[in-house]
Amino acid sequence: MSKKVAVYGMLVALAFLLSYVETLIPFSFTIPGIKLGLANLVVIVSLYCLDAKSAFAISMVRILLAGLTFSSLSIMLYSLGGGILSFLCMALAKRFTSLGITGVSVLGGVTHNLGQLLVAILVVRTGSLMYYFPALLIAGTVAGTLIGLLGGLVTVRLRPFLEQEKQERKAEKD
Amino acid sequence: MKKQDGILIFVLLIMAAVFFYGYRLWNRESPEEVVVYVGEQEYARFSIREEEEFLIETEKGTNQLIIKDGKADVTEASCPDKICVHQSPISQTGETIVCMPNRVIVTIEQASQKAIR
Repeated sequence: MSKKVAVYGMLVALAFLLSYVETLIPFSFTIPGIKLGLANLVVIVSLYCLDAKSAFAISMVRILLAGLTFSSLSIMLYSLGGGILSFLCMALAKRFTSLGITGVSVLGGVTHNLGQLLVAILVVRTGSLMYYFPALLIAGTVAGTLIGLLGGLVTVRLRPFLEQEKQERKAEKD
Repeated sequence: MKKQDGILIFVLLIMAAVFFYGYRLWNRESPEEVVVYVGEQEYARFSIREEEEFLIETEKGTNQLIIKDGKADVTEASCPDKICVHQSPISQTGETIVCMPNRVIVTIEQASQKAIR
């Protein structure tokens, strides 16, 4: 149990830190909502090394923490919309399609942007925001590809450790 | 990277292009207007051809709107995050600048019809 807490805590901390690193990258804000989504790296690695439930928990805790620390409540609402939708799509794609980690990550990037856009449309009640859909689609695809490739590299190296942890946990139970 | 991943990326990029050009073609006709909404209420409306400096005043704060050379831009805002100020000027129908804290929406609409809201 204590090991589980340690691993999850570490992953949340990592995601939180990456959110912070992302605020340091000066992005010219032509369109709000476009970013790399570095923290998604942790979510996708957890999805592949641990399981869907843990990855979801880590993602939600990350959004809450980063939202409260680095941005305002209204921006957190966007992240939550994007985070939940993209997580659902990634978990389903991993389970039911033959997509690899890059494809799953691309899907996550695109649906994250879509989720944010939908929240924005609901909040300001302006369908005309759909104008930004193509740009967000491209941004999500590019960011998702980068994160997916990176995630693939990290997963290969991290999995042995996390698997070991999982097995130890099992052994403890038996 | 798997082959399916490549296909997915390709399909998404094609989709983006289709949406982009489809939207352009769809909204090509009539002249455009800059419309300012505060909350749900229409607050002001200008032709995009005018030159205009306009201060949007709401209960929550102010935003400076400048219309020049067929483009609308928010250059100053009282809110802390300044997302609307950092956004580049808008000129195409449907483009929108949003200031969440002040609940201000600056958008481009076709003069003849009201945009889908």
